[in-house]
Amino acid sequence: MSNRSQSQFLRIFDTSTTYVRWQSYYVNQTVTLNSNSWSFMPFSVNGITESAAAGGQDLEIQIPATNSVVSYVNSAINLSRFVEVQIYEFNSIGAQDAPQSSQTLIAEFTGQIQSISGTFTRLELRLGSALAPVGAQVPPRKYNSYLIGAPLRI
Amino acid sequence: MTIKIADPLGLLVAQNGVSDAPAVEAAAAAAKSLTSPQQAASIGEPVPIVFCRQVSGNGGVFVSPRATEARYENDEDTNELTVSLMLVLSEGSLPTLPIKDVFKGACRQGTWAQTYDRRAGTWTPGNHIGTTTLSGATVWDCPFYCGTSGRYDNMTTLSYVNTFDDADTRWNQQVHAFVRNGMQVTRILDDTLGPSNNFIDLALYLIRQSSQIAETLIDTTSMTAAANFTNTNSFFYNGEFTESTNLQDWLTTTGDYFLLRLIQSKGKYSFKPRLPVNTDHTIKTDKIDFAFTFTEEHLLPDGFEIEYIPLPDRQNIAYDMMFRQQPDADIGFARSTQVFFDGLADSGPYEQHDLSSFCTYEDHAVKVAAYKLARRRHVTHTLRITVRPGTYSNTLEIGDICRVRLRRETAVGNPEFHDFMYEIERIEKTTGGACVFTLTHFPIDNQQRSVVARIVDAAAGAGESLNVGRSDFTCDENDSDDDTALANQGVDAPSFDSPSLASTTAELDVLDIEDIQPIEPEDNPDDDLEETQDLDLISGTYDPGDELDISTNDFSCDGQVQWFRIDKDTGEKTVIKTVTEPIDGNYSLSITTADIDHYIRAEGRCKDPSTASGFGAPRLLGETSVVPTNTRVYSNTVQTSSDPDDTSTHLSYQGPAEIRISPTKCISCTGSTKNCSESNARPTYQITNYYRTQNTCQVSSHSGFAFTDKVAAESCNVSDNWKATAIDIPTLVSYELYRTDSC
Repeated sequence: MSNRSQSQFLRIFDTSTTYVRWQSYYVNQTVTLNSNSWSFMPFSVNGITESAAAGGQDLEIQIPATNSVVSYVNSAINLSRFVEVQIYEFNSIGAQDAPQSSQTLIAEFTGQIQSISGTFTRLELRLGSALAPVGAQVPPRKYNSYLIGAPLRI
Repeated sequence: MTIKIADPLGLLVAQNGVSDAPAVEAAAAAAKSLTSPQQAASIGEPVPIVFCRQVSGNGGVFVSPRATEARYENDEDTNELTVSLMLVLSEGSLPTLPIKDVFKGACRQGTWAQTYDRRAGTWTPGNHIGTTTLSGATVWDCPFYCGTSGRYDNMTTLSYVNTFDDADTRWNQQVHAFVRNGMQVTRILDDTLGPSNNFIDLALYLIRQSSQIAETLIDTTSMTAAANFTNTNSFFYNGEFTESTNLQDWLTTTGDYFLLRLIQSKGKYSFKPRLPVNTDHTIKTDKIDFAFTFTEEHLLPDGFEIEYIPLPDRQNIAYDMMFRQQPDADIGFARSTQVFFDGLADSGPYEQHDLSSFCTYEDHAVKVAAYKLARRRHVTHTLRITVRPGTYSNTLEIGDICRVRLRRETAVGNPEFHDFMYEIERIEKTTGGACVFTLTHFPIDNQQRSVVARIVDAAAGAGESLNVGRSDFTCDENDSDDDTALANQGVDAPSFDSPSLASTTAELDVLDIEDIQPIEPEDNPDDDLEETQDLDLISGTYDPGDELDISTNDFSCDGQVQWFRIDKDTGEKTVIKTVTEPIDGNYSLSITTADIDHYIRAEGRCKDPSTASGFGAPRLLGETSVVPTNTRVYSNTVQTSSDPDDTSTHLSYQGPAEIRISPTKCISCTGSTKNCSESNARPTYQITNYYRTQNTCQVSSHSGFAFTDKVAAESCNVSDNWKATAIDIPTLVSYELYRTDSC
């Protein structure tokens, strides 16, 4: 018999830099995973959905509204940085002080912060892409006065 | 209360493409009128994208560019009308058209020029229609607002000039161009800049240009596989993109017509073929390998929901597929082909799908119809299973084929199985750990081959080209096989009255984030009720007979100070004295023997008429340590007698004691500094004798521990044995011993 637990890891990055690595399972510990250090931050992630249907693939994260968190996520949404979430499953009867080598990556998601809301003490981040299900976006260019001046009127 | 509503399975019929009947059926997009009036571009309209590539004589698109500038001028003697039009052909750079591919109405006429990133032609726009001497001449009714010039950044433009005889009614007919090779993009398959007919190239171009999806969130590997799939199976895009639409909607609906599905897996977008494919990207028609088999071992309680495709979506129908026949040397036209299962819907009912805006291959249209028909006929149900998490949670993806084999006990010793192959449509990974897979039936034959794939692979059109129906070639003034490239003629900006960037834009200054952060402290007015808390305002000593004070300098509001005694053991709090008027600038309290073994606390309250008591909320002004029973101070006592029993020269004391390094700071039993009010700051040191023998400090023969301070220790040159039993007191200049017994 085994007891299954899930640990969640979150990373904010862009094409050249990783700005922060957090994990929410190992309380008050900085653990090493994939040769990187992940500090403790008590966030939680809702379920991940993958689909061919439009919409519904967003991910929500709840995280304490500390000054550092507010700074990180505000910069992330301002500068279109990416957030990667990885969820591992493992046997919780084993060691609890560090990620187990036998743990299984059961879900991962990469997206950009689409919106941030919350209370004074807690923020809710919605991850996804900017691919909006409504509104016209293509063709991307439209005729404007700079391009065609005052056009012919027939 | 939270209400969770599951996605209804009924939606899946439409979501998974089993049923996707168009909401409106109308004329084919390619069925354009050739001789309609010339159209003008308008501010706000999308800049067209001509996306095509002719391969083996097939492909290209017939477009009708809109005019942005015009010039109309008649001859004074003959009243011949010269029409000049400036036309936007496409966004981006296009290869130069040959003269045989440009038309006025249905005829190859006029003088043409083509350029890129600037205004084509050198004529100036305007209406220059004047009087004529020709008797009975036609009055040319030409537009007066002929346009100003523009910058035409990153556009391919055309200039058209043609002259018409008096009374010729064709002067205002729409001009057309047959573009064999469209806008140049970096093709994903050969990483080369050039025209493309691959749907994935167009999709990536639109995604990137619209900045809808960041590059990091595009699964390039899957995109390349999808591009290979469309290329290998001759699903080509040869069309003009002009209608403003939602990108996600366009990617999804148009992708369906290329037998691709838009998926988002692990947050990244990609297209995945709707059919199983071989490693060479052809449609896989042999035995299907499935990625995983779900059994009872994986299923969670109540984790099985099934829904069969409803009757309206299973009826046999015929598909009317519209595509475009695009002859190499003539104007293309829309045509259709009917696709149905033999003997099942030969005469309808029909469902119409218009691929004519981009599809020039009959087989492409027929295979799309075959896919839809095969799924309609052979896909019987959808399934949703809830399973425990496992490795497969992160390895299975949308579009993967899996098997569900579940034992069904219908009779003793005769179990049956729900055993089907499925295509994964949706994966939901819940916070509870369970994974919900939404699956669509994937029909296979007795050799485990995909039924749908076999039908699609075998589907082919009749392969016959229809006659274009043209019977008059006399209107062509340019040769229909003239491959002469149009002249590269134009005017660099600024040309004529083209507006400047400054006159058409409004740029705002970008502020640094720091510039908008508040930098001043709060500027609220002072409020006595919001005074800062100070816990150490009590002055004075607190042996019985001493007096404690709260200065009006520290408690300045008009109010009262209450003195309390708090039992050191029970915490019981009793009012000793309420002082409403300070005396000599102090709210004072005299310590009595009744206060022994109690803490003394002072609380202040400012007057507040809005309360029933007339005073506001109390705030703590200070609290002493326990008032001792009796105190005797020994200061830095260093004994000189060698006789531990000589009380005249020796500190002869044994019992509990406090070690204070200031009036409020004590040293705990571990030697660390504590507030004396803290419970563990009053250790029960056993103070024993120590004495000097031959310049060495030693512990006496009495039981217990010795203590000293470092200054004393150093001065005494204590032995190692003595140190080992001594408590290491932090550095202090002096210390006092307060006897707490009654000796």
